Amino acid sequence: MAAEGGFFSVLGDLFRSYSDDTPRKLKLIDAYLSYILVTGVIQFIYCCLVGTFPFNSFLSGFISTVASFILGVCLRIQTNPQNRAEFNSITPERAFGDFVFAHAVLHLVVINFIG
Amino acid sequence: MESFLTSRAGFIFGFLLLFSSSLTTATPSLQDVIGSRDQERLKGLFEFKSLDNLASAYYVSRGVALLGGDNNKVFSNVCSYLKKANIETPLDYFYASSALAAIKGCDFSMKSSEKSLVGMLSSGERNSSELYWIATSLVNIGSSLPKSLTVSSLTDLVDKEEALARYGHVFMIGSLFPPKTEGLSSLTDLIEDVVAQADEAGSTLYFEGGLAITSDIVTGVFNLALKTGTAPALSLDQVTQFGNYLLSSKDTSCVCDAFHLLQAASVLSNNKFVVPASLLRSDYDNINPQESSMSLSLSNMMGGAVGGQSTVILKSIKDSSGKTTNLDKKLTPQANGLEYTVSLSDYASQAGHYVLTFNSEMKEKSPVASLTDVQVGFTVSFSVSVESAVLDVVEKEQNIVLKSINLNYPSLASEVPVADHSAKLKMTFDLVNKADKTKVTLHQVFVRLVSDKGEEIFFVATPTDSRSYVFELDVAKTAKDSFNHQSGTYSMTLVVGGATLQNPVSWDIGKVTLKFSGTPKVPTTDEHEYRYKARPEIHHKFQDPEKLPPSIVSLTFSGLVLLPLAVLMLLWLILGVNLSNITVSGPWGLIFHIGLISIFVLYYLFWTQLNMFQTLKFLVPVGGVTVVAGNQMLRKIAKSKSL
Repeated sequence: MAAEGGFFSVLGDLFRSYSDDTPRKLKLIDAYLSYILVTGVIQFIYCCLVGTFPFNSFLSGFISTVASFILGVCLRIQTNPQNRAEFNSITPERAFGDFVFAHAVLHLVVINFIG
Repeated sequence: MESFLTSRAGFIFGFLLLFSSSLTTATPSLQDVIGSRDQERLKGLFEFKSLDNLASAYYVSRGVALLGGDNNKVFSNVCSYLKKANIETPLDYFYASSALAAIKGCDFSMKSSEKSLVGMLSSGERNSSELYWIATSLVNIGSSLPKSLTVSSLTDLVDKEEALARYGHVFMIGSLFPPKTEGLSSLTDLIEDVVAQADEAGSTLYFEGGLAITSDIVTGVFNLALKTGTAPALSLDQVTQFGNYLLSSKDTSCVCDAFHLLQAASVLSNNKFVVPASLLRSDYDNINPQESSMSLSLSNMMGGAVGGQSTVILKSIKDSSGKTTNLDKKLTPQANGLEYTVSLSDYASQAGHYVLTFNSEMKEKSPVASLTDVQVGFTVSFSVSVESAVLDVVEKEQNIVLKSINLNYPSLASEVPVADHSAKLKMTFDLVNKADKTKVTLHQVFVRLVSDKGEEIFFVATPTDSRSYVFELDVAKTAKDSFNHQSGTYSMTLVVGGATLQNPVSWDIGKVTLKFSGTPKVPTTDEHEYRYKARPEIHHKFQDPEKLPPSIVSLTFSGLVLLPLAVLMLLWLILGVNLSNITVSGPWGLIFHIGLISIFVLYYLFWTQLNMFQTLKFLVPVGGVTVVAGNQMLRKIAKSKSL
């Protein structure tokens, strides 16, 4: 029981420190990431339950979520103030520009493939 | 139906020769010989050859001489041809002088040619064949070889030239030198080199270039060896293989080939070093079913006896079942010292194929090869008769014999039995060896039924345990597949064959009437029409799309996928989206966002109606504007931050 209580208290601490110490911008990105993640999971469940036909449509949708997630994570890493030392030459604005450009290219391909 | 075999007076076993050549031998023996018949044929070939050039005069005279004939007619023809021949080149001299040396009783002399021959030898550079022709001519006319021709000049030629024929010529020239000539052994040493260049094919060995070159080299090697007195560096196997190759052109009709064959054969049959031998059946011409003995001759390549010191031993006999019996019986030669007789009936009492294995042993120091494991096959055949033949019509259900006809081979049946679908046709008979009246079983025993239309149906008659044969025809069962319900009268024939059978049987037994139930199946489509008629057209068919899930499922999941978007919006509202900076960048921010939205609207149109080229055409300006606007906007935001 004590251990379980400890577990929940750890979770509580984690959540508290997250909501206190994380900048709002990053929280917005995290929300976006979880949205992408859940969408991908739902697509995957659909594919498991119903099947992959038409395969190209499934694949483009799933690739879209995976790639968006990766781009989102990149954006989060580059805009995180804690990582400033590492990405000194990249301003958050530059990172956002890259993010938007990459999305434009990605979705051109995704739409081309979706059929 | 013709019955082409009638009864024949029986006799004790017939010995029929099916194959009699040497099958395999442990040490290779000659597969053939130039026997007396072949020699007669070749003699005729030479005699009837018209002399139209010096070469033919050479081949004819030498060939006849090699066959040991004193054919005065041929010799006088050659003599008169030589007298009027125009002799100019070294080859002409070679042909003319050799022909002259081979014939007897010709008053033509070439002694006066010595000077021009010696002149030819010293004028210019001569190749090995020209040297051979000139040197041979000089020896033929009784002159001695000039001093300028030395052994070392011959070995130089061997090194210089490349054709294989040079070896034969050089060996031949070498054999013209006096025995004690210095350096002759250096030519003998070349023998090993040249034999190594021979090609092997099966049990033959030959030189590239064929019969003439092989014959010249083999003859040259032995002539040289006879001159120097040292055995040539050739194994018995190799000599035998050369012999087999030469013998393969035994049936030639060309005098040049015949001469080359005889040239080498005579030296291989008569030399003191190594003489290949053969043990072959010699009674090919006397194939007689009643024969009960076999004659073999142990001979050299020219079919001659190999000398009185030979012993032939019948080692073993192998019967059809593969059982080998050792005999080790020494055979006694006949008066001519060439032939040996084996009494076959002593060893083979049953019909079948047999293989005899022989060894021949020579007295020590004989140049003639001893042979081991020479195999000669023969077949004991027998005559068969059909006896106790009965043809029954049997009611199938209760096994009652409705009709029984006794048959007498080889006559026709006395009546025509009728069998309907409830009956079986059953014939029993014995195959009996005529000689000892024992029942036998054979490889091929068939009953053939032929309809009035000429359709043939074969059935196999099978032997029972008691070695009687039974043929059963179940009318109902065979109706469909064998007879196609075609009722009618069929001619019936018994066909008997076998590998050791002397009289194959085809006995026209008579006719039977078969009545089938059911109707014959008439072929629906004409075969010809079916084959050449146009086939139905093949239409292209797309693959059927897979079944899609019900739309309710698809819509549910579409909704589910959109749900997180709503959650996202909610979360962003809770977290508090800060849109205050949108004004910092002025109009650029607005343009950027409109551009971005346009891009995604364009993508949507790409999905629904546009193609890639149209999309890219629109994307370039829209994208360009958006990039510029985005750049300006972000730059301003950054600037406002840093201030």
